[in-house]
Amino acid sequence: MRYPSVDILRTVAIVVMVLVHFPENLSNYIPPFTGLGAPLFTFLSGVSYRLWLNGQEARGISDEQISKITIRRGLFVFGVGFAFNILIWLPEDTFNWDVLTFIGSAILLLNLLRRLPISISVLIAIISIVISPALRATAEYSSYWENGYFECDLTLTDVIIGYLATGYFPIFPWITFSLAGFITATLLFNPVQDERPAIWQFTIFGTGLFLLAMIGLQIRNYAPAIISTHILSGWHMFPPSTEYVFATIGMAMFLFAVLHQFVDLNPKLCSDVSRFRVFKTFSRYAFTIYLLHHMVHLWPLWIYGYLMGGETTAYWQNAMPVTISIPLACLFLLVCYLVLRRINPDDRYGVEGWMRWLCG
Amino acid sequence: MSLPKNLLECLPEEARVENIKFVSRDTNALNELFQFPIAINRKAISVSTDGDSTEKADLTLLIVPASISLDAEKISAIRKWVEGDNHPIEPTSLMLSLQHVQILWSPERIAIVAEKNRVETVQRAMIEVTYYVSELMNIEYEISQRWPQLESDIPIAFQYDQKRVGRKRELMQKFQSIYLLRAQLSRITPFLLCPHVYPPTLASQVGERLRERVRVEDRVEFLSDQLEVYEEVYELCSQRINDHQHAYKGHTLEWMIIILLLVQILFSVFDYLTIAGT
Repeated sequence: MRYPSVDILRTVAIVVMVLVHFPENLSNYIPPFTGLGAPLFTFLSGVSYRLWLNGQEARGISDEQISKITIRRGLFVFGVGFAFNILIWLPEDTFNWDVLTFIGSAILLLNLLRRLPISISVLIAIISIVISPALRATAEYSSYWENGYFECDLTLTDVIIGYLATGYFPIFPWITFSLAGFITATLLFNPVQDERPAIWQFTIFGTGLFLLAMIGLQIRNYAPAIISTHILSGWHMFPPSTEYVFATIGMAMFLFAVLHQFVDLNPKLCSDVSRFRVFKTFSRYAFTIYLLHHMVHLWPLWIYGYLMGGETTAYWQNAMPVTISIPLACLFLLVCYLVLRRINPDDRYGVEGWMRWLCG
Repeated sequence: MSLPKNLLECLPEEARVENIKFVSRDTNALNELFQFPIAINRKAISVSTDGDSTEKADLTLLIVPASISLDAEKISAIRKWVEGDNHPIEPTSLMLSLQHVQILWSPERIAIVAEKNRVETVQRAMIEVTYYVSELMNIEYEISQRWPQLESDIPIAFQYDQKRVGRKRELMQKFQSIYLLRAQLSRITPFLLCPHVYPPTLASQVGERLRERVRVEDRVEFLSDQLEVYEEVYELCSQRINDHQHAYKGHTLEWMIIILLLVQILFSVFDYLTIAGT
């Protein structure tokens, strides 16, 4: 079953990412809503996995078969993530641990956790938040981000540290986002209706997390140096500070609960499918759009730099004014919508179709 | 309840219909007809179902005071009325003839043809025994309806897992309802299987005759056997559910310990990696 709430949020996530990446990579402009797309995207990866699981279980697919499909899908996304790093960010960034390699790993982990009590997922999500600052401090996070972006030596130790704690999207604490989505959807879409918690509880919890983050931001100035440096380190995505993690999980949970209440559970609204066509199109091809928008704005940059005879990345963040890069992002989204809406969902176009064909 | 026109025409003028309801002993009612023992906690009262009253009687009595037996034609008309609503368990009526008293009986409608001075005695006896027999029939009906459910629940008596967690409440309700039926049967059994009264009276004989005719003794035994099957299955189900709950809690605790150990290992490995890196 497709839930409009998931489609709407995934559309928001992908649109935010496109509108952030174009001006950031072409004009070195950081829009104010930077850092809101990826948390939503990773939160929804957990939600979607639970919804997919419910669908498979309802169809009577065996547990073993579900595991096989999940592992294939996880490895597929992980592999595409590596291919993406090599082809889009060029081979020196193979191990930058971008969002796709993270989501691939998260899918593999969720496959293990789906059979365990939900309280174990909650425990791991909490532990992930708690240990992340300690891991970053142990690894000396700033030494991997000296130029404002992640760089590591191609040694096994650095690669593993990057994967676990210091990369762009390391397992800790980003796994908390996927787990939060998975837990929320597991509780909210429990096949036993009587055991479902009330939706308002998620709304309150999401709001609570957001307020907690805001309080953290306020009190960090008065906290001891060790806390303000490692735990309440302010609002930033790289590394994801505790306040950032709390606020974005709270936001994702709040938005999802509210949309589920007022859109999914509103038969009048849901009956009109045409209302959600835009969201459905963007949501269905979010993975493809994520890859495509990088190709569209980064490849010309690398080719132009190469043709000009300098460094391939010479024009990165220095190619055009923001007044052009943002309209270009909007144009890309418009063209994407017009092209993708014509594609028959059953055709195997797009990375999602290839994944279904290959992994089941 | 009004009688059909053809029946009214063939009955003597004194014939009357009594609508009876079984209510709690605590209920205040002036028109009390019979009080059951404390264990049953019921009493029979006469109710009016005419006019605006929406009350449905539990039992309807047609009392025909007559000194001589009615002819076959009249008996046939009365039998038709007695069998009016086909009872799910007892679709046909029984006819008892004893000491110039004629009784046509079905669980919900009874016709008593007796001399005026004997009517009350027979009426009270019939109310009492009919209540017990009806209760027995209700339990039989409940049980007979549940066989398909029982068959579908038998696998749970062997294995209960996480996928069946959603059925816990439903199984608990079934478990409770089976024990309620058992309690109900135990409560009425002493009255259903009570020994013959000596010296016999008209009332006691009427009750004993009816109990014999509906084979109360056999039915109680069969019902008890059937309830035992249900009890065994649902007891095993409840055992499986409790075992699963215990195992689930233990399992969760074990996993929590494993996760904490993994975190410790992660820190050690991470520490080693950072040292090796530098």
